[in-house]
Amino acid sequence: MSRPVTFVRFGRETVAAVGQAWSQLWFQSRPTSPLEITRAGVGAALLVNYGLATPYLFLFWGDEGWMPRSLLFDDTTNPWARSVFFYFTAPWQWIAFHVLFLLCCAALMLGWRTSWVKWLVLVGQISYAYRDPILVNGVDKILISLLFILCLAPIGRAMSLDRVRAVRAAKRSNLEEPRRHATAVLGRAPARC
Amino acid sequence: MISKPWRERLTYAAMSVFLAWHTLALVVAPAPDGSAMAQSFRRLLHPYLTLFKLDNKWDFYAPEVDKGRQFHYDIEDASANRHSFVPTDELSWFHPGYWWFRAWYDAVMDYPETYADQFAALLCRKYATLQPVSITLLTLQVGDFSPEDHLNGKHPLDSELVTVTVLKQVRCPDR
Repeated sequence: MSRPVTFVRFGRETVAAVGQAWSQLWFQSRPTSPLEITRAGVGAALLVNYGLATPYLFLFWGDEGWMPRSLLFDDTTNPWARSVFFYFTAPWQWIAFHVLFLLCCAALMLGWRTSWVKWLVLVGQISYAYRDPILVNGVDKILISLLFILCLAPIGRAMSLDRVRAVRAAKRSNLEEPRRHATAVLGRAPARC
Repeated sequence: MISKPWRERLTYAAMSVFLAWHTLALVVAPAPDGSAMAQSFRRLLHPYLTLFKLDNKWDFYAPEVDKGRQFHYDIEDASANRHSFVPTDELSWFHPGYWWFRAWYDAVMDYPETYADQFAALLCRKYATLQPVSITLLTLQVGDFSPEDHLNGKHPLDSELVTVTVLKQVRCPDR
């Protein structure tokens, strides 16, 4: 066998082996229950944390609190460090956002409307972190990293209210299908008597 | 309309590209500042790392353990009486507020020129009933504390073992 052919075959085999290793490392079918447990845990941790922070909402994240916008020298000059709090001007906006965020945390924990709620929780957590960087500790960073992965993962399909809704909807459609079928058959049946 | 096998291939390729990108970002984020290669990648990854707050050093549980310090503040009222407060004594270990307030006290101790004025202004409001004239922010820095000191019944925060540093004295507004 000529040298170039051997070389080409060796190259192909190497690429195939790398591709197989890549696939085995990242793309194996696995149960999503660890992701769902993480989802419920992250949601619960955020709900408790920010629920207990409610009395300090304006102290920690308000413009009249410990961190006025004038002290956010670094992060506000960084165009990529964004927080929804930067756009608020009236106290009711802080309260409304905080309540919405807590509801989203509860929904994430329970797995209700997970496909879009998870994104709101991620945006909220990043917003709190950039509004008062002093408060950010290791747990916040870990939660953001986990949330980001969860946002891209197919969460909410098991161990969740979304799953309950999907099962109920499937049962309902199964019950309705024979009825619809029977109605169609009866509608076509010739009238007797 | 793209056929199913091609759609699957495209999805696989897109997910592979994202995985490679995200893994690179996680490696580059904690890379030392002195590395020229890491810095060139960092310029590329900066928007992604910052927007999603993924710019971590991955040193979450590797704190620098020092000898310890405690944050104090004294309030001087209109009658020239001094009221001393140790705010950490009011915190509970079982409430996340322990970490939030400790983080803020550390920030005031580390950067008094940045945070002391705002912090003191809020204390003036909080203790308005005392009619505060000024707030003095202090750090108690723990000195050497040996096992012998412990056996002799001493505490790291005993007055003879600590060094008191005045961070800043701030006058309350309208006083």
